[in-house]
Amino acid sequence: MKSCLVVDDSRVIRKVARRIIESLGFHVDEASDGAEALETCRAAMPDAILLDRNMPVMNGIDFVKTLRQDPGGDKPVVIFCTTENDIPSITEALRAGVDEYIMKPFDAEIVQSKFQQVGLIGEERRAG
Amino acid sequence: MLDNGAIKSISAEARRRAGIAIPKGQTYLVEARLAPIARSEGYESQEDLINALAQVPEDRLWRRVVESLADHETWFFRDPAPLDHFMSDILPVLARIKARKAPIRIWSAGCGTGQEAWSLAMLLEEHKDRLAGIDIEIVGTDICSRAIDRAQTGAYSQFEVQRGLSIHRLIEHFKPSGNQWVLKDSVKRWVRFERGNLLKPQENLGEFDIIFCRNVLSGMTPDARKHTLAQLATRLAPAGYLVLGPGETIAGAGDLYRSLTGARGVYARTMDRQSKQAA
Repeated sequence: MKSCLVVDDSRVIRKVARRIIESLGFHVDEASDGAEALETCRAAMPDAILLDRNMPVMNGIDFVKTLRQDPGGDKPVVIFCTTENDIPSITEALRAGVDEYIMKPFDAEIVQSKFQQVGLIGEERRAG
Repeated sequence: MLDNGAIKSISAEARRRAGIAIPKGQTYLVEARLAPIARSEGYESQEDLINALAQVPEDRLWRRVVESLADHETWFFRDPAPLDHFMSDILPVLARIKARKAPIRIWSAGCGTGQEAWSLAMLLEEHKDRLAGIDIEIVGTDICSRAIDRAQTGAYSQFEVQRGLSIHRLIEHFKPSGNQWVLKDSVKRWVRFERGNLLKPQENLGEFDIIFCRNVLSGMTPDARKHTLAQLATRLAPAGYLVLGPGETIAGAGDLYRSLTGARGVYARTMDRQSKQAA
């Protein structure tokens, strides 16, 4: 089973994201800021990370920069998930090492579509 | 609640005008689609709207009702395999045949709000260096004038641009405008849209080298499907290509088309159209 780490300081967002990502067949872990997420990754690298931007202690940009320097830290597919939807913010995140970008608010369809685009799950067979 | 009589007359009109099949048990869908029309036309309910149409079958209003019943749900790079196959296998062949003499013409038939046509345009724009000097035109048509109006704007909501579109393509091909994302002129230049009914395509559409008609036939009655496949064949260049959606086939089209190996959903028009059609 593939694993996904959900990193967000909002318990509600973590809960919503967990439900959606579990339904895609992933084992889900949670972290409430970048520092906690780094600890989890250093214990066991997940296959995917859904990452908020603004968090206390360590934000998403600093987390992904640090992660990418770590041994094996280039492996996880990192999907940013944030309300900062302007082009400079998107570009900054991509430069920091983010693979994909979800603009909040999101729904299950968007998460599924993004997971497909980065190859975490296969193309679904939709009817019609 | 719409009664059986109302549903029957709506189904008959949808079949006659657009070949749309309304599956039994989808009354709720009809009611949902008719609600905004009833409201904007000043009727108390969907029932009142249909009663009015029964007494005065105003063409404009029937058209609006029927257009609303076509399935418009679509997204960018939906079922991308045939799009990739087009870019890697079909387009190079067409480019060689055409050798800069005539434009390569692509039809997105039943394009809804335009995402398929724009996806093709983005692919062309991304490969424009190797397409230099080749004239390519994409035409998108749909029966629903509201869908065509939206397609033409090239403006999509944050939800729409996150379905099927990578963040790299979003920032490469779109610019933000208020709470929407609008396609750049570099993509817009490849496509034009017009309203059209696949049961009787306009003469002036001309001939196409490839027609993408995906997830359209599946919503049609068997008769309309057969008729549409025949109509599309008359708009295809000799040996032109037809691309259908998942689960859709050329069944009912006689030998107007043949399957191509190695490309699911891609068909070629058979060469001797005249004799085959007469048969």
